Amino acid sequence: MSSARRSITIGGGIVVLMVLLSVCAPLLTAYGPNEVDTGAILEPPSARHWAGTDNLGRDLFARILYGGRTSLGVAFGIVAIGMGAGALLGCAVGLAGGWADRIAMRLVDVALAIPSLVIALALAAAVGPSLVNLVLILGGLGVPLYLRLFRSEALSLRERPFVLAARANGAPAWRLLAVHILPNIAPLFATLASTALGTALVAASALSFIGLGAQPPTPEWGALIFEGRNTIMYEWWAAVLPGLAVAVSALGFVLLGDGLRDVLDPRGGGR
Amino acid sequence: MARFVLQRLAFLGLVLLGVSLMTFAIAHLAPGDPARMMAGPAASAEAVAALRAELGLDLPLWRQYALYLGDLARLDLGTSNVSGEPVLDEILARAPASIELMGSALLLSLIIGIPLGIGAAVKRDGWRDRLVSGLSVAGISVPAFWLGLVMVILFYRQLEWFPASGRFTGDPPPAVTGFLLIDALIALDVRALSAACAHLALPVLSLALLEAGPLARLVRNQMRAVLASDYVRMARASGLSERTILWRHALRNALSPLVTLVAASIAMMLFGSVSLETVFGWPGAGHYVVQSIFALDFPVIMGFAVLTAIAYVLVNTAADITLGLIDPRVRPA
Repeated sequence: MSSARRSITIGGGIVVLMVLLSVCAPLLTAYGPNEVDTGAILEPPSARHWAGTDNLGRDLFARILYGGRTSLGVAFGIVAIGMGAGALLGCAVGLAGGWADRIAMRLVDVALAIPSLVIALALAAAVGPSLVNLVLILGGLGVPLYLRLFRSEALSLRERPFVLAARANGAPAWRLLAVHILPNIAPLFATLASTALGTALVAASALSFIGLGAQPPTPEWGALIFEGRNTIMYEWWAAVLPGLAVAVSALGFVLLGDGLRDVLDPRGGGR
Repeated sequence: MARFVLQRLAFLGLVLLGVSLMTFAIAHLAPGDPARMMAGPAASAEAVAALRAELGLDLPLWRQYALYLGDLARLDLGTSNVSGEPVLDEILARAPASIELMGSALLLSLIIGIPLGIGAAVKRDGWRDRLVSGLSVAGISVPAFWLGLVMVILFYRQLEWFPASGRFTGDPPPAVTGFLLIDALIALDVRALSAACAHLALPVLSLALLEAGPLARLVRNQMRAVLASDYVRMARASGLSERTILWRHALRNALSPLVTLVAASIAMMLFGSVSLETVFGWPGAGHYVVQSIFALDFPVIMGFAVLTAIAYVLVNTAADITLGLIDPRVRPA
């Protein structure tokens, strides 16, 4: 098995497993994520509570499973917004060329020179921390990078014979975009999206950890690490397990992205 | 050459303008009336209106922006709602702790990353090659603050090798620079130096291990490209030793893209250190901004964002220009 295939199998396997675990959370645990049990505070792992309970007697295993729904959902949202808008705008300005393209690229240069996560921090604090805001902010701040990547892809596609032929036949711009350009950026989209999901997951968990994402009692991996941090002297796993979930899921996405890149785009080497 | 420098400086102007526009817009997005917040809930409507006029909040937006630019130029970032002290002073007082942490981490990641990358390039599919691939994936997928927590659990809770919180214990050396390592060296105080190093160990290791992966990967890929180039083949044909080729010819050409990546990893660290400082109770600017988030001390949060963004942009431009001076290939024709 080539190393690209191996990356796809392992990475894809991890991703599928993590998604299944969080989607099937109600089937895997009898406890709700916010079910308080004052009779079972800070219990160690047992047959009843596989990962023990927190300082409110909530089942940690349930909170981590349900936390995956939030964390993975947030990551998907961020990438959908950032890459969706970036790809659309990038292809549009790449096809249009001229002034629109020049202005867009200058703006992108400026945007990429600014440390976006620091801006995200200030923005999240300003508009008030919530999951929806977190998705919008991290998604929006990703747009410039993807705009640039998809623009250059569109530029090279624009000169390909099938696009030139469609143009010569008088195809309107929307048709060029919808029929000829967008389907052909799909491989690049899949590759970038996979890696982007990994980085989005890590960035979102970091913002949640400092109080700018999920608010209590919402279970989310970054917020769970924050909650578990106060009790690491009694139950270290409360902080370690949700972080492990972030790291393993992100690893899955990144491996999958690496493998996809090698398979779908033989030119871009340098694993 | 002068043209290249001028171009970079003009771009710097644009980026700084972008930073100021963004932060100005963010400050206006904040909910609530700043005049009401400063005056307090008991103040009369007239007092709030007077304060609003005094703050310039009744002016048209572009005038407010002009005032904001003036404040930024004078480095006036307002005052903290919590302490009442100027935000700039509050942040600068904590900056040495943060810079010491990030600087040590950057240095360590280079010490680990460069030799590892070179080793991986020389022998494909060797253990170093595999380690570089593994570390670079880990560098993207492991959150630094979580690795910090794991380190605390392992090396403080279990093994009790290193302290897990704060920057120092005991009497600090006389403050000269604010950097404990340097101050301890100046005072020739071995005990202080080892205490400072012990406190730095876990947070620095957490950051450096994650930054070393991407660095090593870049060095490896650059080295590989250089080793396959014509001039290296020429050097080999001329009978130069592999050692001379590697260290004298190849390394110099492979390292210049590193400057760009180092700038990028500084941006990552600026953000990563915020949560990491919180984990370690590190008395730096990042920990302070998190406390300010929970205290809703908005001027501090904005001041932190503006200062770090400007500092980063300046460092980046300096790196670009330096790189252009050393390496004519990166200058645009």
